[in-house]
Parts: sequence; structure tokens; C-alpha cells
Amino acid sequence: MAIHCELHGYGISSTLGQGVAANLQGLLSEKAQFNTLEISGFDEELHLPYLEAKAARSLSAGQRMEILLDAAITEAFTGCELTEADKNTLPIFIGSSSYGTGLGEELYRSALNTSPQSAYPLPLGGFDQISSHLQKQHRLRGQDYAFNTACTSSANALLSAIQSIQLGVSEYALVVGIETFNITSLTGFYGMQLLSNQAMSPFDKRRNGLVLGEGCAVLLLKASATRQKPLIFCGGASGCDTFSISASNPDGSHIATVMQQAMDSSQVGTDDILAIKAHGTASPLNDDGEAAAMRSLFQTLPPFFALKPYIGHTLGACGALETVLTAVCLDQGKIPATAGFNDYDEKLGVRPITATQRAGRGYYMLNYFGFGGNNCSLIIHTDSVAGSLANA
Amino acid sequence: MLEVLATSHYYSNLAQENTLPDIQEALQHSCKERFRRIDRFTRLCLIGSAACVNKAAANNINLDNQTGLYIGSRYAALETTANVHRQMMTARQIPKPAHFINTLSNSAGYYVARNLGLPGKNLFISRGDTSFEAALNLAHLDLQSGQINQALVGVVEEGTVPFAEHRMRLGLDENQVLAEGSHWFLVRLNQSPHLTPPAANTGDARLIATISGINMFLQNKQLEHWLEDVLSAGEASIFTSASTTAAFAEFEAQIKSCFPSTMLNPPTGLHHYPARIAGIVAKMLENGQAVTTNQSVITIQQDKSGRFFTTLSKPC
Repeated sequence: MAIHCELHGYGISSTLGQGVAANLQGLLSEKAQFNTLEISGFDEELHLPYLEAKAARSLSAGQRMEILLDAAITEAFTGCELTEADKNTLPIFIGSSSYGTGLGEELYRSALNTSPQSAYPLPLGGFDQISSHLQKQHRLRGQDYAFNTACTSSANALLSAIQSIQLGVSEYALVVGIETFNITSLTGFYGMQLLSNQAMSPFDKRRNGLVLGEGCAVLLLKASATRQKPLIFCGGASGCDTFSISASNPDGSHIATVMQQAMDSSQVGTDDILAIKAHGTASPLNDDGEAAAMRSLFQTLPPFFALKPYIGHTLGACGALETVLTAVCLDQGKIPATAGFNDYDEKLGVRPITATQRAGRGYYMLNYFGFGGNNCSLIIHTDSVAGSLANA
Repeated sequence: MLEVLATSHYYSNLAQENTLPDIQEALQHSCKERFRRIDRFTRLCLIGSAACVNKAAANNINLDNQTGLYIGSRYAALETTANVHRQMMTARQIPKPAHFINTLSNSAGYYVARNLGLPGKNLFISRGDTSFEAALNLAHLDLQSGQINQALVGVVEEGTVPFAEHRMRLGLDENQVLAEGSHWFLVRLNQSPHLTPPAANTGDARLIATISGINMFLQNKQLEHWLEDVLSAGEASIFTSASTTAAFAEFEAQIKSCFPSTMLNPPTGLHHYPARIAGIVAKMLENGQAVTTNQSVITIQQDKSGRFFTTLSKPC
């Protein structure tokens, strides 16, 4: 008998605020977000676009990680009856680009100030900051996996978690996507000239890059023989486009292949997809490739939307964050508008929805693409009527 | 259970302080094209993966679109990232694009995929010193799901200059010799699960070994029961590792007292580095033969939170 992989609980924290309600309100406002931070310590004066998580503002790196993680986990576990035995065994799939980078920066800077002779960069144990906190603070001691595949990190984490459930390896699986502020990522993207000087406008003729964002989302997946929850994960696919280290082939071929594989794994066709959550980074190379892929695959392109104008590009965490945001909207019977889109680009030949629309029951595709050519596509199905997905 | 079709084992003691071995020639032999501005971590991945694939090819085993790539590491591109931080905080410089890209852990996976022609699943995974076991588990999931039919699993840790800093990161004594390694395994699901042990020759592929028992235990008793079951089936060498010297000594004493006749931590010549356990397994299986006269190889690691992670490799 097939095992359904249900979305059993979830929590989120982003620039829109802490919790599902605040984030949903932000999405339905249809307003793109923009802010800048002053970055000191360099020879040039820097004011760079960045959307801090509301709950993390003015906190240190370690505090940010813990505050965001604790809030999202608490929300995700509300109403879920996990025993101590469940917590000891459920596998944890973590996706992030930052991990302890911000913490490493702070520790090194502090050591340079207080004891420069013995200071050394990255005085850390590896990528274990999140899993260590989960073990100590939340007694989650199951096998943990830290994925680090750039912007597809938590999407890949989610895909492996789905497989773990569908194969009967575990009854529960926890997926954590977290991205916290750090200088390395922000100045790295600045150095690559990928940052925008205004709110993000994916697929827009005048799109000019990214605004990075900070946030955390947690998804608790559960195996179910008979479908209990309105949203299930059907399948997905992931691959590596070796066209270029910094972007997929702008002809969209590899992206289209991964999207097709995702549909094949879920036994659906293009006609079954009601809407697409696009990756939509508003960078020339991504939007070109993504648009080309969608045009090549879908004879009639379903409505599609992008969420990064609301919360920024949360890099490795976007898989978890944008999946939760999509689920939240579908639960309300809605597909969110793509804030920031104004002018159609005839070269792209696609137009995202710009007003909140009604969502039907059925299949949805969620796409995530990243540096290193890593591409991931997930398929979900919702039976939701408004309000039925919410945690008890 | 996973069947091992090929392995490769690059390892180097870093005995000369702050000196890393020259791997340029090995890199040139490994790559179909010249990759510019790649760092040492990526070079080690390219060398190890190519060596494994070449051994597989000599055994009539080829990679295809359904071969997944899994790289496990505790630190990934540590030296690159450390240098970026040095440049930012002491020289006040914005990271250069090539350097920033190299800080991303999946950059190495991109280059390996490009070198070997692998468009499929491509993951970077970390779980400290148990990144080997984590990568094997994820490969196993994808094999079971049918997303892939083979998995190329690599565990890579680079040497990082200055060594004194890295000893501090690893919590080692100032005189402890460091090491670096790149260890690769081409695996697939057990093709004939009803045969125990699996046939050494299945079609054109000659199996080197099987890997199973990729477990996590929270309690000593669970680990002991598993060991009793495994050792009842045949002799084995056990290799252990723990997060601190004290924990390691206690752990070793515990195993010795429960299983006094089992060979425990025989010399391997491998110094301490986070990929040491993967290195031991790769070394035991290198050249297609287990070094210790066809004995199984059990590895057990205890992490800093007290969890035990195991593997069981049986030569064919």
C-alpha cells in the first residue's frame, strides 16, 4: 500500500514576522519588501540590500540562529503529539547556505580584537551548529543530515525527507531550512554584482537582481496510510547542470529535464499542474533559464508566482521557507501574487500572476535552482479547503 | 545493503609542518578539461572521483545519467573560506567572485559532475566525522527510490595551512600529525538479496565488497546487541573513533571488555583527520581485496552527543 507523505506541522520566521499568520498577512498585502543595511569594516562604504528576519534584528549570530529556530520548531510542533521516542528517532534534514558562517565571523572578529596573536578564522566544528542546538534544546537526537547545495539546500533536504517517508524508513521526518545574516554571503553576492538596488522584480523587464533575506522554516512530515492532512508531498527530482558554475543553461534544458522528472516521479503530467511556485531570483541568468524551461515544457503555461519579493532570497533556506509559504496560501485557498512585477519582458515570454488568485485542489510544482547548477523541483497535492491545514 | 563496485583511496600524512603535498600532476591526469581557479578541496574531489571511476571502467563498469554523486565532508572548502574571512577582516577586502563561489560546498560537486559527465543527483552532506555514514545513507535512499541506479560516494577532507590553527579546530594536541584524504566508493543496491554472501561476479561486474549496518544507536546496549549479531556471523576487525581522546579510550575499553577476542583498532597508518573512518574502509578494500585476510571491517564512531554510528564492510 502506498504511503502518503503528509505535511503534519510547520513553522516559519522571516522578515514578514514570526509565525504563519504574520507571513500570510505579508503575502496577501502584495507588497514587495526592501531594506538596506550598513556594512562596516571594508575600505568602501557599503549599504547593501538585506531583509533581516523581524525576530532577529540586532541580535548576535548565535542568538539569531537560536531565536529563529526555536520559534519555528515550537510552531511546527504545536498540536503534534510527538513522543520522546519519536524525537529520538525522527531523522532531521537540514538545508542552509550559512550554517555557522555568521558565528564564525563574529568569533574571529572578537578574537582579532582581544587576542590577535592567537586568532584564527572559522573556529568551528563544521556544519553542526543547527543539529547541535536541536539536540541540546529540543532533544531531537535522530540522524541528522546537513545539506549544503547553495540555494537548493533545503529543497534537497525536503526531497530526501519525502523519500524517507515514502520508502517507509521513518514515520516522521523533520526538515529545517535556515539562513542567518552573515557578511560573507552578502558581500559575496555584492562582489558578483548580483544585488538589486530596489525591491525584487522577478521576470520583469527591468529586473536587476537579488535582495538577500533571512529566515527559518520547519516542516514536520508524517507517513500516513490513509490521507489525514490536506497537503501531501508527491515526489520530486534533483540534478546538476554542468553548463556553468554560476547558472544553469539559459536555454532551460536541464531545468526542464528536472521538472519533467519531478512530474514523472509523482505520476502526473503538465496538464495536472494547477500552478507553479517559481524560483524567480530576478537575476538575468536565472529568470531566462527558468522562463525558457517553463515555455518548453508546458504547452499552456499554468499560473506561476514568485515569493522572493516578500522575504528576499533566503538562499539555502528558500526550499523550506517558500514551501511553507505556498502551503500557507493554499490552505487559504489562494495563490499569491508576484509582488514587484510590472513590465512584461517579451524576450522571456512569460508573465507571473500579479493579483492573488483562487487556488484549486490539485497538484502544484515548486522549483528551486542554485549555484553549481544544482536544480530541484517538487510536486505537492492539496485537498485543502480554506483553513483546514492549520496546526491545531 | 550496498554493493561496492570500485573504490579509491588518496591519503597523505601531513608530517612536514605547513606543507601540503603537490597534487597538480595527479589533477592533470584526472581531468578531461583544465579547470581554472579551483581550490584544493575541489582538486582532491576530482582526483579521488576520477581514480574510482577509472578502476570501475577497468572492471567494465561505467557511469551513466542515473549515477548520483554524494560528497561528504566535515569542513568542505575550509581553507578557501578561512582565507576569505582573513581577507575580509584583516585586509578589509570584499570577497572576489571566484573565491566566493569556491566557499560553496557544492562547487566541488559541480566540477566532479562536469568532469565525469553526471547530470543527475548531486549532493553535499556534512555530519562532522560521520559524514561518510551520512552520505552512504542518502545514497541508499536514492537507490531504493529508483532515482539513481548507482552512487558515487566520496568523503574528502583537505589539509589546511597553517596546521596549528587546524589542530585547534579539531581539538588536537600541538604535536599531533594531521592528514588529508579523498576516499571514494562506487556503490549500488544489492542485486541478489537472496544470496548471502552476494555472488562475487554478477554479470560483468566484479564486486569488491558489501557495505551494510549503516546504523545509529543511542544506547550502549543497542550497540552491543548489534555487535553480538554481527560477530556471531564471522570474525571482524573493529575500528573505532570518538570525539575526544578520553571518550575514545573509554569506548575502546568498553568494546575490549565485551568482545575480548575481536581485533580492535589494528594499525592502519592513518593519522587523525575527520574522514579517517572512510579512509580505513577504503584502504581495507583497496585493490579489490581486504587487507586483513577477508575479515569483515566494522567501524563505530561515537559523536560528541554520545550517539554511535556504525558500518559493516564485507569483502567478496
